[in-house]
Amino acid sequence: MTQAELVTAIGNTLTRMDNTLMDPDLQNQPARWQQVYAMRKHLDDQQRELVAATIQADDAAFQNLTGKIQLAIKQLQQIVDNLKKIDSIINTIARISAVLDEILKAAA
Amino acid sequence: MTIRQQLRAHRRTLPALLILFFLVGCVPDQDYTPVITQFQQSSATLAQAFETLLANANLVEYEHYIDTQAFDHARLTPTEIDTRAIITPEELKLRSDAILALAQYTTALATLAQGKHEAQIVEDADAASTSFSTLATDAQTAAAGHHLIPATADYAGPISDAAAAAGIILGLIERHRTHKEIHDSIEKNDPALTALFNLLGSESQAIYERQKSTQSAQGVLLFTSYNREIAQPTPDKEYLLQLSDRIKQFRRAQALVAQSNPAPAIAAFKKSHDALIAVILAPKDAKPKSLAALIASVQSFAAEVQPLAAGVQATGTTH
Repeated sequence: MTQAELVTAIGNTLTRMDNTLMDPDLQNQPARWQQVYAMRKHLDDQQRELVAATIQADDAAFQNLTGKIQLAIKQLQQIVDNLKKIDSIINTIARISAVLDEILKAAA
Repeated sequence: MTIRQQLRAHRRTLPALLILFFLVGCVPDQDYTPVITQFQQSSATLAQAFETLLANANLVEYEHYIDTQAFDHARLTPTEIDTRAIITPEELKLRSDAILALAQYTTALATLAQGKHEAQIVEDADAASTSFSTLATDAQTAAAGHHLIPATADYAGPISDAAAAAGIILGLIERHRTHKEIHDSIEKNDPALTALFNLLGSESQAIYERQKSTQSAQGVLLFTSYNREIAQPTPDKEYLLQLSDRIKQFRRAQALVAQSNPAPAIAAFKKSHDALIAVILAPKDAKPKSLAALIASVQSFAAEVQPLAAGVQATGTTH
């Protein structure tokens, strides 16, 4: 995965999160909505930092970490439309964010 | 003969004529002109759209930050807003000049392939040569100076490689060297431009993704504000109407952002450039096939660039 592909994958994840955040059913659960919204803001900041980060995309560590992100995104795709699984959605997004933090830390 | 019959007859005759041209291996000069003109127009449009996209990059981040802070009832300061910039004016200029230099270089090759008047060939080669020379100097300055995108430091390499390669080819054209010398030089040096095409393509994809994400976030803020307001015991009708207007604008902009990704147009630009090189390097008997590939590539390029230009221009004013 290249840096641009990772930025795109995070962008697609943000779009899916936005669809969830615009769902009136989630908006009727203010605490849960706020939790997902806070994660959206964090992931958004990470994507912005990623655009400007110096990353060695051919590095094995980067490829290993993006592999973890791809796996988490795949799992998120299966549950993101199911608000009954909101805890799993939140956990999966947290996993993506944590791996992104590692990537950004290595790039800093 | 009715008009419909005449049209049918033309439809039958035109492909037959084209097949005849290809069979006899004849590539008349006038065959090049429309495709080269279309290529030149498309590359000029791409350069303009790319510049607008980059110019919007910071604006989009500022507005996204302002909207989010307002929604969160959080403090706003001009300094904080400015920290959201992702590109400096120098970085922006470097990237749009790179597209322009590539467009001028490819135009110079197109003029050469077209077999236009010598004065025009030299004039186009001179223009491209000057652009690449300025670009190489600017890349060195930008790499040494303040930059927000760390990759700017890495730009100097592909730019100086591309400038050196294009300089050798264009120099031969300017000095009226033999067809064979120019031909050999293109074959040897032109591949050095690939890294610059690739760099511009991947970076513009990332910048576009930010535009898409910030635009999508705007939808969350608008729909949530609207739904929260209607849940109030006495909703403010005027506020709801303002929000509904912004939701309509948001939905229009959403469709435009979807067509504002410059990466496929840059890839199509490179494909056209490669097809043009193939026409120049092809032996005489293979020219018709190469020309057909060039026509197809340039048509795809034009098809990518037109909606991009409209989308980028419109999102700059509606985001």
